[in-house]
Amino acid sequence: MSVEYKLVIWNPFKKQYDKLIGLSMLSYIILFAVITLIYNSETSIETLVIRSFGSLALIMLHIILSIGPLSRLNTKFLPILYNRRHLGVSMFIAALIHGGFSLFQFHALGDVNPIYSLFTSNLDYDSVTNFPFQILGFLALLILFVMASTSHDFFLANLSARIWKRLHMLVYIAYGLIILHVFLGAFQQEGTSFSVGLLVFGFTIVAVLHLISAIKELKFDFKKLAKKDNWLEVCHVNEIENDRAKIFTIGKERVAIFKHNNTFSAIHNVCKHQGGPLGEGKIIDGCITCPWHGYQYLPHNGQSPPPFKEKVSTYELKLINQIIYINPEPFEEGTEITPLKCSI
Amino acid sequence: MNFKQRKWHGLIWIIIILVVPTIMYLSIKDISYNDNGIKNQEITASSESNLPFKENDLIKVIVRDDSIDIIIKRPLKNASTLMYSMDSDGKKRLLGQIGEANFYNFKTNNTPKVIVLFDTIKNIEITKLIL
Repeated sequence: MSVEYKLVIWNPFKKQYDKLIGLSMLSYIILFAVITLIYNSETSIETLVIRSFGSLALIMLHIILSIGPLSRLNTKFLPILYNRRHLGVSMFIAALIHGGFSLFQFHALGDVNPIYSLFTSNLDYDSVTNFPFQILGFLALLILFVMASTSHDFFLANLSARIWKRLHMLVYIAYGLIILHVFLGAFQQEGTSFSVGLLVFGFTIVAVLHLISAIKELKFDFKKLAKKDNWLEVCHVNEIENDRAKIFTIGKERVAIFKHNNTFSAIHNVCKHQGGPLGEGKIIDGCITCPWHGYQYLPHNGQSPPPFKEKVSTYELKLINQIIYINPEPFEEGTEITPLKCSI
Repeated sequence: MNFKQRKWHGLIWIIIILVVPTIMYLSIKDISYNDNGIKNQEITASSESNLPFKENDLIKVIVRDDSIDIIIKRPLKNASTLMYSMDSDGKKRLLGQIGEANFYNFKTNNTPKVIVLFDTIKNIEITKLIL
């Protein structure tokens, strides 16, 4: 990994996505306020802010958590994945407004520290109807804060991809806490069959998408390749499209074999940036390009082109009767290999 | 994701799928959401009945054989309100949640002696009506 941060250039699509996120959030808040004021004109501005931003953050979190499995199941969702981080930071801002206003409204107007008040004003941990649900929301907000503040590539480069990924998998814990925050809080006091049903539906969709995607991945992991001497039989040369790859599982890890200008080269499938599946990307300008965020690697050595310093393992290939074989032992990350030539 | 990350990812989701729906169910199994859109006419009809009732400036409670009607006269300022009943032994029993100013009906096993409206966030009693 590189130890210095290199700015990834923004593209016009990214800016369009950001505008879309901002406009959608604004539209939701306005719509929520109008509907609330029509049906309950007594609602105070503080309550309106707390509820509109809380529900907005909840909806956004469901969208964010669906993007990953949807992209695994259908590549048409990959462009959304590309901008997931900005959606995540926007969701955190909505959650922060909800949490901040709630903390002020319910805990800051007394004579004790609001955080102290949050943790001590209700100690009914053995009650379901009166559980201190605000603490669950506060803990989730802390996780989202850590995630949002480390979402920039600067932290990714300096924390290492492994630690960064571990940190950002905490979103699932935050999701669980938020669902419980709503069920043990809002739904105990102000729920309706519709709102409860909607959240159950949202949770089911997210959980089922993750399950389907996990089953698909699991099937892939158990697909064994035929062994010949110390080589594994991969596929026929015609099975790989030009500038594209096929992914195979070797041992426990995945390898992508790319075809480019009638040559074949194999690299480890996991992008060093955020663990994206390199084999689902394509070769652009001679570089393997990760479908998630556009990180690039050279097919013949697994190294990112300068000034980037990321590198992945490469593998040895051989050809017998138009069938590609792979040596399952990886080379050191960034090792130069001679791409396998094929006359087809 | 590499193999280890996929394994952790799967494990976390198995835990979420087992734990979250269980708590979801436990948290709402005793709540009956009163969102049937009860009309003003029903409030009037109920309030004009000849059944015994008690009231204060905030609520009116009409006692029936196996249930009680509760009319919230004006919107509550409290963000979250639960209604409890207390019997002659002083035992507190949750009746349900109170939202907007409306008519509510709760089933009761025995005749309650006291009705209490409670703010669950501020932990304060909003009103108490002795029947």
